[in-house]
Amino acid sequence: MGKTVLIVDDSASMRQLVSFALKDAGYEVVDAINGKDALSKLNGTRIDIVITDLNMPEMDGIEFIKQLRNKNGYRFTPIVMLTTESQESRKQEGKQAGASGWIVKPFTPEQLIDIVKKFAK
Amino acid sequence: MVDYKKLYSIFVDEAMERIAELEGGLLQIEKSPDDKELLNTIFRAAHTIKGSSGSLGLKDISAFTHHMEEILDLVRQEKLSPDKELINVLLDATDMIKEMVESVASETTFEFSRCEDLLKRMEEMKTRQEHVIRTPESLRLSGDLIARSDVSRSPERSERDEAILKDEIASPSARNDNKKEYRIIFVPDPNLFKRGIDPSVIINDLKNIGEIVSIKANTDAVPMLSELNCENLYLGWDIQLKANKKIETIKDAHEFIEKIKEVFEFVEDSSEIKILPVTVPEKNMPLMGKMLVDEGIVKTEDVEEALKAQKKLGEILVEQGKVSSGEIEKVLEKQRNKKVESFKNSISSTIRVDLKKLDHLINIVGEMVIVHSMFQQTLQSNGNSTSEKFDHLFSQLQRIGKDIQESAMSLRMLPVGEVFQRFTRLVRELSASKNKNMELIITGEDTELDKGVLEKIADPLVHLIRNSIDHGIETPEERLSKGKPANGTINLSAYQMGDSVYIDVEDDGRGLNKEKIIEKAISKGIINSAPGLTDDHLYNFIFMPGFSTAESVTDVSGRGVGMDVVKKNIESLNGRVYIRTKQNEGTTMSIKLPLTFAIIDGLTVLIGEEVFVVPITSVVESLRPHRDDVKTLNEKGEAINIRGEFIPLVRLYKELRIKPWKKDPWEAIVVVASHDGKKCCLLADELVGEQQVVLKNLGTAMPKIKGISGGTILGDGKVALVLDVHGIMEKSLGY
Repeated sequence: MGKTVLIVDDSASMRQLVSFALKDAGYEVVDAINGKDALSKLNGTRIDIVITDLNMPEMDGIEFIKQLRNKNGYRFTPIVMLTTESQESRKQEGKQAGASGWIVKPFTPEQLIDIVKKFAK
Repeated sequence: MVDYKKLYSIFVDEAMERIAELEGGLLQIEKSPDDKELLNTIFRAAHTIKGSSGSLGLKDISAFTHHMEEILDLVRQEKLSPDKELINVLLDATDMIKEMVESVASETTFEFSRCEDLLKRMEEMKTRQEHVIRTPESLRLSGDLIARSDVSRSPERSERDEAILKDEIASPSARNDNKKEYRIIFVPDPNLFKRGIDPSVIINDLKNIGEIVSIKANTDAVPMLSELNCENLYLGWDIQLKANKKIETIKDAHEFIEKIKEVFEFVEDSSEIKILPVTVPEKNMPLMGKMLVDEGIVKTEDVEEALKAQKKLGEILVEQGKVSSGEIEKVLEKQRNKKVESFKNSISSTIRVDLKKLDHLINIVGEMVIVHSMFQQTLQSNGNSTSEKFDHLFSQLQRIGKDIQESAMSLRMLPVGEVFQRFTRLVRELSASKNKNMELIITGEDTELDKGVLEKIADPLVHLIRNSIDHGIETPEERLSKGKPANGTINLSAYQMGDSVYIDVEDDGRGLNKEKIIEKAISKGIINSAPGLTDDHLYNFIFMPGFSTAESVTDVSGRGVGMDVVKKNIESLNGRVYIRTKQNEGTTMSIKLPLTFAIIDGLTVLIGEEVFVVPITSVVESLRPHRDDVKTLNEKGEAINIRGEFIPLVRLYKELRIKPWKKDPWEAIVVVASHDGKKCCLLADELVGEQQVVLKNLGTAMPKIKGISGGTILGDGKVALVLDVHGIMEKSLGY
């Protein structure tokens, strides 16, 4: 069975790009527009890796990571955050919240797949 | 390979939204430069454009936006103040981004060289801030920030790297093949599993850059079974890695160490990672430490101990008693809350739907309306066979149908605010170029209009506003001499009244000059003399093609094209323009638009074998006149006397060239219709009834026929044409 990736980003084009690239590489993709949406979509679904943006309305990435880490079944799920070079302090916050890694925007689909492969073994 | 092109359209939509946010935000920030949340919104807008364009391989947009983002970041950090000059540059940059995005949408190439001038201007803006921060105080502050936020770039660390690098290159024991070996001591954070990271994956990654010569697991930290927490990681590793490429210079070594660091990127600051050249072990300490060890003054362990004791700024401040840990926590909490607040306010939760899907839904709903009428007709024709219960269910179905229809229609509705926002910019720029001071006041930006209408209304509004700025509002001197405030005001407001939405452009300028209009109308040969013309009639001359009262042609308006186009555009939307004006007090241009134009209430009439629909909004009444009331007036054709008012008669069968059943009005029926305050009597054979119809255009194959606005499918499945009262009046009565 293919691995399932959850992409959380309020930007439709980012969601499209990520899911397009990952589907191309054989992953299943679930998407959500913010942390709250993502949490509501989980309810027990098997997720192999989570990719989340940090700046989002309603529930931002940091809060989402914190909550996800405390949820049964997702405590060891790799979480990759989407950051930019100007978000160094946010990256630290994300790591403290329990993120596994990050991808710096802008990235190419190839870089994305490399990172996803690294975590979703 | 990923085909980016498929993703462009979503990007363009999104970018355009962000650009609008940018523009609106920049204009707003000029007025309230201390609004942090607003600044964040602006910054995020630029940030998102940069991020998504970069990821889609649109390097030009990404690179350009990056510069803009940098400036915005400086503003956010209060290193640059958002004054007029800066805002101007940023607004120009926003325009440039817009052009670039548009070129993506239209698949044309954009010459990046066009940006050079703006890039230079942005650079200048950035240097401006450097004078500000080069004060010792702020320099120290920013230095602290860097040290706190980025451990890997701390000066202490780089000094250490340098020491390693110098040592190893100078080392005589470097292998002959120049493929150096490194020892990596990796003691991971015990909580690594809880962050979703598997250390074996990281170690495996090392194989991409070199060959693992040996690997030893350090089990010293594994506790007794009774104390073992299976979620914790107790192991550490000692790895010997042989580089898979030659390392001859400091630069090579540096690059390779960077590569190793990259592998450990996600764990480096929570785990202990030491990278040592194999030949010179245990030298990863600051130069000072190393020299002390070499001199035999202290032991290696002592230096390591001392290094571990190094603390974060916050901790040091707490220790020195400058702040309490509670205070630091409070500040951090505040910071977090602020962020959360600004996220909440920034973006409304919307969902993007393909317009085609929406129109499909509306079409289906339209068809449902038709089936509904069919149902109604069948029920009625079956007369007494309808039970009461049937009737009850039917009315329920009717209500639900209406609800669905209304909510489907509302999906196409958008707030006018989106279009209105642009005008703030327009007014700002035009008033500057005309040396007039004026303010645009927007009200009712939440009023909603059909998307199709909204798109077409922008241009006419630009024209009206330009006219107000150019001709309406006087110069400050002139205004003061008239006892008005020096600054002019333009009110742009939208509101709903009944089935229509009104958009008013109101200025407090000099008003329309009646004498000048009369003069012009006479000189153009439109009229011979003014008497007998109402003010309303006079003012409407400005909507005639080629009619311009401006004394000189300016770059803003006054070329005589415009008002007629404005009127035409608005009428193509089934809308109307009204003028209210008073000398020296101002002019109001009021645009009236239908809420929607897809579904209309219609009166169905029969002429011969054909059924026609008259939009109910045009119908005043319908009646069968008395024989004596039908008159033929000299040179003016037929008219019907309705309660003392003579209203011209239009024999529809003649206009439409159909054979009717009845030719005499007193045997047939007349529908009194009005448009723009003028009335006419439409002659038809029979009234069929009133029903909602879905207006469809006749398709491109049919030429536009004056007097017919479209077609529809009736309850019984027949096709009927929808009459356009205005067109009929123009065609048969000449107005």
